[in-house]
Amino acid sequence: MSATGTVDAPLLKLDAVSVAFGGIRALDGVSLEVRAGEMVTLIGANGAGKTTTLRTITGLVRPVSGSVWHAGDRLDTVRADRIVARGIAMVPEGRAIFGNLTVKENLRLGAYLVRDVAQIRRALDHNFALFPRLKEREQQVAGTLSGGEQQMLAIARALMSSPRLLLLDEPSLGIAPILVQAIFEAVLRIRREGTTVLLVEQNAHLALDTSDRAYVLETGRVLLDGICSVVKSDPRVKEAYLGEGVEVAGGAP
Amino acid sequence: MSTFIQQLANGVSLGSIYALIALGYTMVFGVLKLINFAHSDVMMVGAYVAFFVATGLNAGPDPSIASALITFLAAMAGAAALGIAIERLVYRPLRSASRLSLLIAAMGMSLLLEYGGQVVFGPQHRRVPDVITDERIVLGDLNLTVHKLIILGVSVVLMLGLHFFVNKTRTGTAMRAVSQNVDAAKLMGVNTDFIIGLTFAIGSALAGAAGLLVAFHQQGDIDPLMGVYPGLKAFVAAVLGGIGSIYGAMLGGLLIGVAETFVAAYLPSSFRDTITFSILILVLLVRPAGLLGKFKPEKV
Repeated sequence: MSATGTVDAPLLKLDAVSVAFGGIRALDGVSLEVRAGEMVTLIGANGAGKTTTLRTITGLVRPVSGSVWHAGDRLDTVRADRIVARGIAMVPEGRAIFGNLTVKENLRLGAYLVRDVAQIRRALDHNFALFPRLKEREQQVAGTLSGGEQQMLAIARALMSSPRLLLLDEPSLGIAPILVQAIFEAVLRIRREGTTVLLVEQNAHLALDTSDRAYVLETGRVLLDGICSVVKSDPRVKEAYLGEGVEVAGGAP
Repeated sequence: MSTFIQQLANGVSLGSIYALIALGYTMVFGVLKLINFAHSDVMMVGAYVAFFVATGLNAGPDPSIASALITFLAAMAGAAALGIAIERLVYRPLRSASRLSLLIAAMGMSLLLEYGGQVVFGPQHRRVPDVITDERIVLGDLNLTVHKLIILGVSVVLMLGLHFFVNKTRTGTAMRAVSQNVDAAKLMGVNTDFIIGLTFAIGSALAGAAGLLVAFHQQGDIDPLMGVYPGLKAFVAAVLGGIGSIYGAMLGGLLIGVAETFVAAYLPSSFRDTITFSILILVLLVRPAGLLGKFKPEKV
């Protein structure tokens, strides 16, 4: 892996980003930063804007105001299909694997822009070491994999481009607990190997235990942010996301 | 028995034309979820390109392999160019509009080509010169013609080419990815606008070739409304095979062609069109996803 960038600019920076869908504000002035080598998580309830944040970073959604920066370069004017060439890969919500294609074809698409055959080979080997199950199922049609295996495939597919920044959208959603553990071990290993990770997760326990820093989103705004250990002890987070603290006595939601 | 085999040969020849046209419907549906009603009229324009090129080459009195090849390629290129233009100028600006707007635009485009065709080409029927001399070929009891064999041969070559492209090339794999999930394909770095344009180009080129083959099938006779019936039948073929499925379109085309030919052979020939649309109704009732289809009908 390359040495830590000398540039002071964070690897990823959102500056007061707002996004609207048909007049409804999905993001309202969200600012966040991810520094090279960090693992940052974005937690919050359904509809808080977590997925929209990731889709804005990858250009699938355009902000109405604010800006997105990647290593000092403006990102929110870049087309979605040019994002991966900048070293940013996303594992989309619901996995979004290509179900009619084989596991191998899915992986080859992850390296769609990579022309160097040796580099593709290395990325494949690395992925098969990370997820040996995928090696066993290389020729299988991806739609026939189990949910957990599809998630592994979605992550492996994203890694095929050897990204510097990996965006993960709810990797634990709808997956058997035993596979969730395997997937998170893989994510931690990816991170140890030098890839910066931005993780969106509805399982706040898991997210806060594995990441360095956290942003808590509520109805399109950043409610608070900080080091995970600090965020974890915040009463608002305890109550709303960790299911601890105040016993629900009254009817207040 | 010999009638049976004879009709089967006729049916396969006609069906391979339907299959070529059906491929365009199904491929465009794959990437845009749009029934491109203008597709059959693109085929008509392909036939007219063939007419002008073949006439210009003086192929009628002087047929040759070279002029046949040039005519075919010109029909395919002309249709492809028209397909790209329609996608670019009409469908692309409407991509974020509702599906209904897109469908209405497709119908409008179809009418524009049909009646615009009458203005530009004239409403009268024309005759595409024989770029290759038609001759009768007798194999035992089987009566074939050079043109029928060319129809079959060209269709098989084009379909094998498409099969190879879609499955064995990087761009073909990207096309399959786009037809499954446009956003995910973008995240892989696939330029989805390019792929959608390419899909129109390939589908239209196949239609352009089919235009000349339809002319072969009806002794060279073409007119600006020639796309209407073959288009409807190819559309039924695509639905029968499973819209969105390339192999479904091939299979559906052959089945419709064979069914039609048999009905015309054993029943009053006016039942020929009835069978096609009866098949459509039956498929929609019994198996709406089609024989090889994956697209489930939307529940409303």
